[in-house]
Amino acid sequence: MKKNLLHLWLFMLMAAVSFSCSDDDDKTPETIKLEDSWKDGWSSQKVLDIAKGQRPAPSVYLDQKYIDFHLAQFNGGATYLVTKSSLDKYGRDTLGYPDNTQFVMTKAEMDAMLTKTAKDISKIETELGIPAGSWKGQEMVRISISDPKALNVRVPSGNEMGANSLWLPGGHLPTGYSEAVINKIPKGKYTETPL
Amino acid sequence: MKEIAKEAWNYTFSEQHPGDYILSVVCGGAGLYDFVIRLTSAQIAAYEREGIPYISRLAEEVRYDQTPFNAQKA
Repeated sequence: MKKNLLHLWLFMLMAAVSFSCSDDDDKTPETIKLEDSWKDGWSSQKVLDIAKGQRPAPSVYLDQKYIDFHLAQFNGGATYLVTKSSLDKYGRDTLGYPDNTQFVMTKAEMDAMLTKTAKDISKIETELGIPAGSWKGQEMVRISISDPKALNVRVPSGNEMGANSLWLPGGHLPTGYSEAVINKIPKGKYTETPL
Repeated sequence: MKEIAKEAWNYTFSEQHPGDYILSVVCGGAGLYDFVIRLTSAQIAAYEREGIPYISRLAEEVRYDQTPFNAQKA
């Protein structure tokens, strides 16, 4: 009898613990979706309707939780692709657009994309939304930044020099890869490797 | 080819032959590429009127959307 009561008590204790652990408030979600992160009254289209140069900071229209989650993906490093001829032409002392911005992808997504495309340049162009043939016959270089936080990694506002007519608010390329912006990159803060 | 103006990681403006102007613009985000155009006679006239500030503005337009400049691709 005593044994049965003990079993019953243990069962109730385990059920209570299980119930407590299933409480959604205590869960750290694996992902925070952009579509769930717009502040009241804002949408992607509303941001796009504002002219480049006058768009607000992402913190105006996106929840801070989303911004933190998005930028945490760059803790493992940031990276981008460029032609060797551009590096030869413009120099290696400081990289990035004159407005102190440079778009980057996460190291993990770049690694996965290069594996997926087997480094086929025309496939990489498609994945990144680069006009077909832009890199044909070019020597390509991968620029890697191990500590993007030190270069003020941030969600793009759409006002950056590199933001074109296809730019989308929220830190993703039209093809889905995560992107962010960092400051200009001085020599010593990046590594250059042939693709 | 005579280089007339260059701003690092923005554009290079050159004269290939007398009166034949080429503008190479740095475009893109996580993948950077050059988009190179040959200036039309109207653009050359604007350059002759306004100088390098016009070229700088033209580079910005090219970088934002290359579609209108596809026919000028060099």
